[in-house]
Amino acid sequence: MDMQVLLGKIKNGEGRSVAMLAEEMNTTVEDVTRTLEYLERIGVLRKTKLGKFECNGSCSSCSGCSGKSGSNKGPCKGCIPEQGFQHMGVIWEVKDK
Amino acid sequence: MTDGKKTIALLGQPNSGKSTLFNGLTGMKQHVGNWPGKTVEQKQGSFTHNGEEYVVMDLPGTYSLSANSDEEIVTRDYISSGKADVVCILADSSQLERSLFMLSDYAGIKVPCFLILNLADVAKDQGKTIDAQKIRAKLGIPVVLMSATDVKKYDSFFAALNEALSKKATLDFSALEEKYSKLDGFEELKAEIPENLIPGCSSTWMAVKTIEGDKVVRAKIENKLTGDSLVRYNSHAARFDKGALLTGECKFSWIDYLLSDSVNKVTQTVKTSKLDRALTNKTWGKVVVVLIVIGGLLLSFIPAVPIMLLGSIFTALAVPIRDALNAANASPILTGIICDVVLQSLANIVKMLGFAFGINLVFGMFEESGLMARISYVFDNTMSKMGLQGKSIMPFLVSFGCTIGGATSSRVIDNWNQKVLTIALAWAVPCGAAWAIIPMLAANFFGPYAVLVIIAILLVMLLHIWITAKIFGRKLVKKEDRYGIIMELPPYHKPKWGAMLRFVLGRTKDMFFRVLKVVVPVCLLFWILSYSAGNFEGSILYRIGNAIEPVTKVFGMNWQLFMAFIASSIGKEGAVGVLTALYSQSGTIYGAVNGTNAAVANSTQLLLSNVSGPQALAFMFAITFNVPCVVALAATYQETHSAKWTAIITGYYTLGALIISCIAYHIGLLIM
Repeated sequence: MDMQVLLGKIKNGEGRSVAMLAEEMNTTVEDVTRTLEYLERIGVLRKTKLGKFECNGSCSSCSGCSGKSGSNKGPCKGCIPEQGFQHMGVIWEVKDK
Repeated sequence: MTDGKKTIALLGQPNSGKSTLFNGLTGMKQHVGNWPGKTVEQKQGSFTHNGEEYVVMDLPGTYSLSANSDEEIVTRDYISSGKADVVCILADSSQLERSLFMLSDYAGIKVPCFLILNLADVAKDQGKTIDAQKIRAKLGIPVVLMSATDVKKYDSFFAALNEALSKKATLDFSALEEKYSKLDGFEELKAEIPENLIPGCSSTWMAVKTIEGDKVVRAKIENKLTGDSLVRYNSHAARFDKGALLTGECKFSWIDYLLSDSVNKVTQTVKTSKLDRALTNKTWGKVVVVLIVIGGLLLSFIPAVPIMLLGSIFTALAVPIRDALNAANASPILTGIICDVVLQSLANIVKMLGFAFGINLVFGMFEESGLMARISYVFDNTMSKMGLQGKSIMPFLVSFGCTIGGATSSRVIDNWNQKVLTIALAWAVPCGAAWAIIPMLAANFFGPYAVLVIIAILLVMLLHIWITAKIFGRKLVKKEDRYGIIMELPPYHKPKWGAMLRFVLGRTKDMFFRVLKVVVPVCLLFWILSYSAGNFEGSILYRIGNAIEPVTKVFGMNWQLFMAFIASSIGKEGAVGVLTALYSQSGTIYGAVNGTNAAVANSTQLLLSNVSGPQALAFMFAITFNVPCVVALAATYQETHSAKWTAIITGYYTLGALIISCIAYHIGLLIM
């Protein structure tokens, strides 16, 4: 797969699913996935699991952490429920344009 | 070789089964320590086979042999040190396309090696058949298909080990080299690097690492090259920009060549479901998503209704309790606080929770099933056009529950300008408190047409976000800074009802206490401010209200509604408390407004008789798009570290809410 072409597609401002990208580039989902992982490893892309959330204790009803800014012990139940947002998928984005 | 013992180094990516093989070979004969000067764990063990003693070095699990981490440096330094007699490279048979990358990165290192295609059982379960002999023929080294978990079947491993050691089998990477040689400038660069300049490494391997921008390898080469050779090396190396992309393509292409006729797998045609096809359709996707969201809102009314009826019990209780207190000659203040403040607040809170429960349940179901990820995906393009990163999806979604959480979750956005823009836009998303109040008020005022009001609020939200993005985005995010994302959508899940109900009930309970803490004190405060022991004109609030009403009427709100609007800046729940205090209090302002001092317990009736439809509409839009709450403001400051931008956003939303309410009021006058 031409990685420059793949990066060009990511940079052009359109969102795509992995399956859609595989179809566009006439390849398999496995090929796209391994390429994305490789690009992440070499520092070109950044991978984020949506739903991963850290609390900074700014919520008044914070009950999931110590309530102190920077403690980041876990999600704040008052802001985001425990076990919530577990099926939001994963995104890859270009680190530096 | 260590004291006559042969040393085997286990090399592989994380989860390739290296540790399983290490444990299978060495059993209890293990020593765990740290690599000298590093905090990387070093695992060494030994075993005896056919009278021969072997030392096994379990190298850290890494994805490549580049110098990106301590683990990778330790691994490749150990290999090039010559301490290992043979390197056993492990790959996961169930995903060879990915896990053979380590082998491709090893290609060019001259230390004898053999390849273990581990997790053969998993690959078999996937319906894959792997011909190890064909791979062997292409690589020129022993290749074994096995499962490291099955310690009784290590014979093929030992055979490969002996063969690799006796024949000093090195990897044939000519096919990969051929691919590298097609890279413009590769051959010239390679020609400047003598073989074994770094012990055990071919000039091809060193050239590849140079292209990939490996600083450690490059420094080693530059230290050993001199004169014109060094100048030429640097000149050729400088030709490669983002060389890792080029070499990566070569490596993956080589892996595909290795697997081309060696692996057969049952082709599973992933059928896109009708729903996914509709959702990802460029033209209709957004329409389908909007319809799903509207459907979700409608559905959320079903569980809300019984809970709302439960709230009416508190309203009904107020009448006998008031009668009992009056009969007992209780103080009018005490009667007022119990009946007009506490019971009315509880009635309103329970009604609000009904909607909060319904919406959390329906949207929790969307999230749990994987539908929410698709909804986010469909709107990603739109978000990108507004200058937002894909990660802004989460602050937006979290804001539907709580704007404080939305502001806080913007922390994942590393670009400050985009973070400020995301927070500014997340404020436009009605939070959980708004979702609790607005449907209740809409149902009270507009009955079955409440759904239309909610849809109108959602549409205004989208418009608000779009306009805000235009206004703030111009300053914060330039067009060239905008880029897209690739999203891996999760598979559809069958919601786990038990867990989901627990989480929805937990969230509703959390909201109950949060709302209670705001509604009762605010209700009490405004009740006190409006209490006048019969002489309503003497109350502080009435005098202030009368003074400001000419201005508040411009925005479609009488002074009571405007007071509730101001209170909603502290917390949206507070608006209900204020309305309760101002409209249900017997003997004071209510009497003045209605020309009667009758005790009226039903605040809904009071609202309906005192607030017109257009005014109610204006009020609902005003509090929905007002500043979310004081804590959200604090969270915004905490995340942006900018008092200026926090003040700009606050001013913008206050003014925006008043403009929207003014427009809503005039539209209301036209249609009602």
